[in-house]
Amino acid sequence: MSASKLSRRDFLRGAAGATAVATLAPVAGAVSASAPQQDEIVLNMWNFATNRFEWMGNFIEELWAPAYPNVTVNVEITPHNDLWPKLQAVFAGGTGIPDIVDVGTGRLGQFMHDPDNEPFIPLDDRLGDQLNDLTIVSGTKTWTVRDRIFGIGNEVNPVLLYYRHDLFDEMGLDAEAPGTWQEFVDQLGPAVRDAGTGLFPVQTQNWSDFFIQYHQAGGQFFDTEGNVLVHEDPLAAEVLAWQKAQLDSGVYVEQGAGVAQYALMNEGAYVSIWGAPWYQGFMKQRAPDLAGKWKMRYLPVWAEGGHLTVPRGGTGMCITAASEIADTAWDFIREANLTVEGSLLAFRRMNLFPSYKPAWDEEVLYRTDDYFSGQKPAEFIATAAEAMAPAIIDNYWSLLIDSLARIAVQGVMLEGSDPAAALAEAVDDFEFNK
Amino acid sequence: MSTSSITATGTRAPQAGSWWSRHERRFFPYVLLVPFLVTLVVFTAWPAIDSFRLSFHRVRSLQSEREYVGLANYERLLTKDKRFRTAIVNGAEFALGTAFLQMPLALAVALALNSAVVRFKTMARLAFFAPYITSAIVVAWIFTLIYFKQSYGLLNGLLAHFGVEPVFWLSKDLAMPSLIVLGLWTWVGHHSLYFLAGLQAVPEELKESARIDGASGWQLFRNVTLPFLRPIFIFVILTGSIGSFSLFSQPYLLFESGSGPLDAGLFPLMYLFFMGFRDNTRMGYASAIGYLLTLIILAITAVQLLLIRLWKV
Repeated sequence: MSASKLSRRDFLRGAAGATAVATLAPVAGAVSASAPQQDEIVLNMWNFATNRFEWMGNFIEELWAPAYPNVTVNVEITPHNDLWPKLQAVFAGGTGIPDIVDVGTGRLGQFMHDPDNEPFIPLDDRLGDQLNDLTIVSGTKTWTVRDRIFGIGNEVNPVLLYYRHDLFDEMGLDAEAPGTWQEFVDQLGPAVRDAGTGLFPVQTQNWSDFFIQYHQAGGQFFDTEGNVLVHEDPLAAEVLAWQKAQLDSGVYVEQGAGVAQYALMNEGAYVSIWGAPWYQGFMKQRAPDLAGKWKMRYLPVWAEGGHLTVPRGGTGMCITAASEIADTAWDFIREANLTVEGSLLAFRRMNLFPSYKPAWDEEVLYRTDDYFSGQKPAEFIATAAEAMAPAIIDNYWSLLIDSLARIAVQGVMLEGSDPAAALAEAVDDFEFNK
Repeated sequence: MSTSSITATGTRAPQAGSWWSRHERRFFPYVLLVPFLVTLVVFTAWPAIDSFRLSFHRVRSLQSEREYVGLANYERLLTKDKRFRTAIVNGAEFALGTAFLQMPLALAVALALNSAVVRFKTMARLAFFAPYITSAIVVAWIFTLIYFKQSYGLLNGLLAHFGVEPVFWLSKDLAMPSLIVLGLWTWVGHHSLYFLAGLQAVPEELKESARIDGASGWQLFRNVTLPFLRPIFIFVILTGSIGSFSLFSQPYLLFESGSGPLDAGLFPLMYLFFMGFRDNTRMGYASAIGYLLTLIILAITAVQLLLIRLWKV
């Protein structure tokens, strides 16, 4: 029947109607979704670490939800290297921005170059007197920009030395004896090397082992004004040359990256390694068969009177400027990081010693750890926490460490470049990219 | 007949006074194209135009005002930026690997698949094509396991049986050959299908008449088959070159989200990503990298087309 045929005009009318419906439906949906029951709040958080993701799950279930039943928290995990470009994209787009972001050490600065467009809000006023309850180096220093605090870190992260006491005992060596790094390699290195293994693994493509040693020796990449120091400091070249010499002598071995380093650890390719307390969790996870074979000690010092240890890594919770529920976001951060219960939960889940000092009196922190042969990690951490050399993290930190890794560390460790010249070239590269 | 009556086919007859009625036939196709055109303008054309404008600006952060710097970004890229040069050289090396290794191998595979020697042809084609449709992430992970430096790396483990010491396959000097091997594994099968299609398009009567004229197997291949494959060569070389300069996922994953030792695995698109998003927020500079890369690829393509035109088989 002719009447049942669709004319172009009818088609257009229908298409226009369908388009209108399709266009308006999500809006209508959004309106109805956001026209919400009273007091119902949705808090969105992004993070990058699986252990913190699990901690958040436990925290929300055990502590947050019972106290804040009207607030639903969505935690989304993104791999570390992908989170920062993703954040850049949502900040640029102005939409899809979460309320809270877990920001890793040295990553905050790249978002804070422009003082007139800070995508995170300062937390100083909200923190108030509770600032005194935090260990500053681990709790706030890394997330402090232009003298304002933008993030709260929950873990004390001093680097400690872990060593295979079973292998040292077999070789008749005392790993506790050396007081300085030079004594460490002189007294232990030759015997360990002759036994067919490495004394210590060093990273040849990454900046962090160089920084830990240099920082502990008293160096800083930046001063507080944002000026780069590392290329003009003879100590930096000395440290790089020293690490290269240990590698060349066979006393140090290459650490390998990613899963390779744990395979080497399991193989017994090295007998000691350094790491912050969060690294202990990875050791247990990826080298479980080595339980009871490790012990820990403080780092040997670079020179008499030098720093006992330095901080490494750490993650802070930051509130975005785009969040419309900053008060709720702060409640969440406070409950997770600035309460004894929240801090202890993180310790139970991740073995992270809290930066929140009122929790330090809790007995549970001082439990013995079978993985470390019955030692009490917290005793080491608490002592080291007060002796950490604070790092000066500039806004351009991530750019500088990239240049240092590519040009200075790789140049010296892989190509045998002159350390001073390689450092100078790396800083030139940094200034070029800045 | 009334102008508003229904015609026999059910469509309305044109109305003399209505503008739409008079122009409907002409404009209706464009109306149908509107959704596509809107999408194209919003998601492709406008970003391309805006990023071109952006390439003449300096941007401190993504939320900041743009500062006009003229050609400074391009000048810096062309005259001062060693990393960009490294990335281009790496792309060119990979492209050469594509041209001189992937293509002959793909042709050899196609000839084998086209011959009577290989049985189970469908299975063989599938086997050669499978790496191409495998996710880049999986490919990178497979080759990470193969290239592991230590003795538990698959390749080093194999070599250890012959008393060979472990080799650092992703070192500065071996990174590019290792990447080219990854490329061979991934794309040879895919390219061979194009050559296979070309081989099957050679008219049988031409081959038959060449045989009757006494042409040897080599002469047949050289003078009859190869000329028919010329368009395939052009296509494979062009797409291979463009793909070489645009390589991202495989090196990025193989080098653990980095550019390899001393940038041995740095490619132009990776550098764009690092400068614009990951390590820096220099969106203007990243845009300039994108446009300069486009120009370089266009220039290389033009040269290749010229050379191929001059190529007389």
